[in-house]
Amino acid sequence: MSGPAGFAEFVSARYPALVRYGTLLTGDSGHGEDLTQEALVKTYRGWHRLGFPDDGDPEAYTRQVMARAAWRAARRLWRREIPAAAPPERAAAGDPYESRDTASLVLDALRELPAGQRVVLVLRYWAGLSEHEIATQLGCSSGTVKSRASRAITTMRRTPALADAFTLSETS
Amino acid sequence: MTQRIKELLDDAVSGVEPRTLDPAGAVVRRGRSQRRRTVLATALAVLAVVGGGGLAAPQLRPGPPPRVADVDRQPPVPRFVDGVVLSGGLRLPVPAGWQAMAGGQDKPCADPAHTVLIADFTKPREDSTTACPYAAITVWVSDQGMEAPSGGFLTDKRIVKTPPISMTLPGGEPVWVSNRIDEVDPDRNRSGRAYDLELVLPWSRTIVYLRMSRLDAQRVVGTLRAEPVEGGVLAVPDVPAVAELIAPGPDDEIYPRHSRTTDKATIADVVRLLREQTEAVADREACASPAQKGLRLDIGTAHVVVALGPHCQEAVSSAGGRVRFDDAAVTELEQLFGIDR
Repeated sequence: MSGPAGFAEFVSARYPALVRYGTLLTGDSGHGEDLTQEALVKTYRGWHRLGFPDDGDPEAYTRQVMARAAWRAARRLWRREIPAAAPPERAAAGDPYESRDTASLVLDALRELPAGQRVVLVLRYWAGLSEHEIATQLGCSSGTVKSRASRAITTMRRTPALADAFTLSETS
Repeated sequence: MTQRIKELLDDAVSGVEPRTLDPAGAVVRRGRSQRRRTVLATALAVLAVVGGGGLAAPQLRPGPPPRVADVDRQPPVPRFVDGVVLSGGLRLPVPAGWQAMAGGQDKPCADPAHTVLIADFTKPREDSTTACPYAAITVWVSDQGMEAPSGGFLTDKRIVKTPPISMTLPGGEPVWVSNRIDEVDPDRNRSGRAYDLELVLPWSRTIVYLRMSRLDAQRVVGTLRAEPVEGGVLAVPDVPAVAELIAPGPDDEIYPRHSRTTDKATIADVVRLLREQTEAVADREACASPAQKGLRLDIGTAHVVVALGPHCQEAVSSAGGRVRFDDAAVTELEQLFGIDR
């Protein structure tokens, strides 16, 4: 038994995308998946009450729950711990663990951000929300959103390989 | 250039794959587990009020009572599923191009340096590893007590184990490791042999042994994940007969401090102290890492490891449970054993 009608289908179809979203929000795939499951528990409980899937968008609801949870837990949960092992170093050609260098750089840089800045950065530049929409979603002021986004961009720019992308973004 | 940032972020997670094979089932189970805990806490609170009346009321806590961890004591059966070794909560992806095999099979491994072997050490050792005795990665489960890997110091009277090294897998499961992973094992290097690393997952009752270069070991460890486990306060035996504490020595001293006791009153105090630590650490809040020093406490059938440090001080029991363990608790523990500084 995998929950109310339509729930298993929704999760099966959208779970990988939600885990990737959670990875962006937390900077780590393990925590991202944990965040996804926590949010999906809320979606599961509210499935009938919220009229999913016919009268509502369960994915939008789940993403909103994830963003709020990551925002609320910013200081408490995901800031201080990083996967315990040293991250893999750059792999040699043909190595089975060959990593995607830029992807790793971006994830590393995301992980370095304070969680609140990371959440705002993802909502602003990945989800494409306006400052007002983010403030509404997170329950904070537009000024807070603006300052967090600005600090996040400044921090991301300190990674040399990412400097161009994040410098241009501020002037464009 | 917002589009460029979006592309970078998309690329960063394009290779992320969920580790859960049945996400809908996992979510439903998680939801039911949370609901059961809520119902149980409510029922206990009601019973306390109804049964104890006014006397019981002051004892009610603002939240649910601390939950003693309940680790499944049955060893799991390691298996390969979709290119991943599953053993308890452990998720170990088989590297691309590697061979995965179970011990005892007749077919020999063609390339031990690229083989993941699931061994069964509940059978005679030769039966479980004959197929590939030098596999780069060997995984097995233990039906014996789980404890942190250790070296030993020869003291005047006996060999004393080295303090433990802890880490935390993404997903939250604690791991005890034989080496600090960024450290070279000088003996191994001098002899030209591979760097060996042993990882003990006490809650999954699983041991992973790596025979490979230090760099490759780092990469493999970086791929490990764990399924979240609902933790709780420490599970410790009621009346252990013996307890031993091993603590790191001063910074300029390589020998650990240690003490062993069979005194019933002292052991009772140690058990009390462990049970008084009621701030359970959730999987996603766990933070022990190899850079930290540690205490090892053997108390009856349980093995407790305390990761020390100003920012992350937590204790894990092999019998289940992980709690914050503050400086006062560390000091009291060392005082009980008479090795406080």
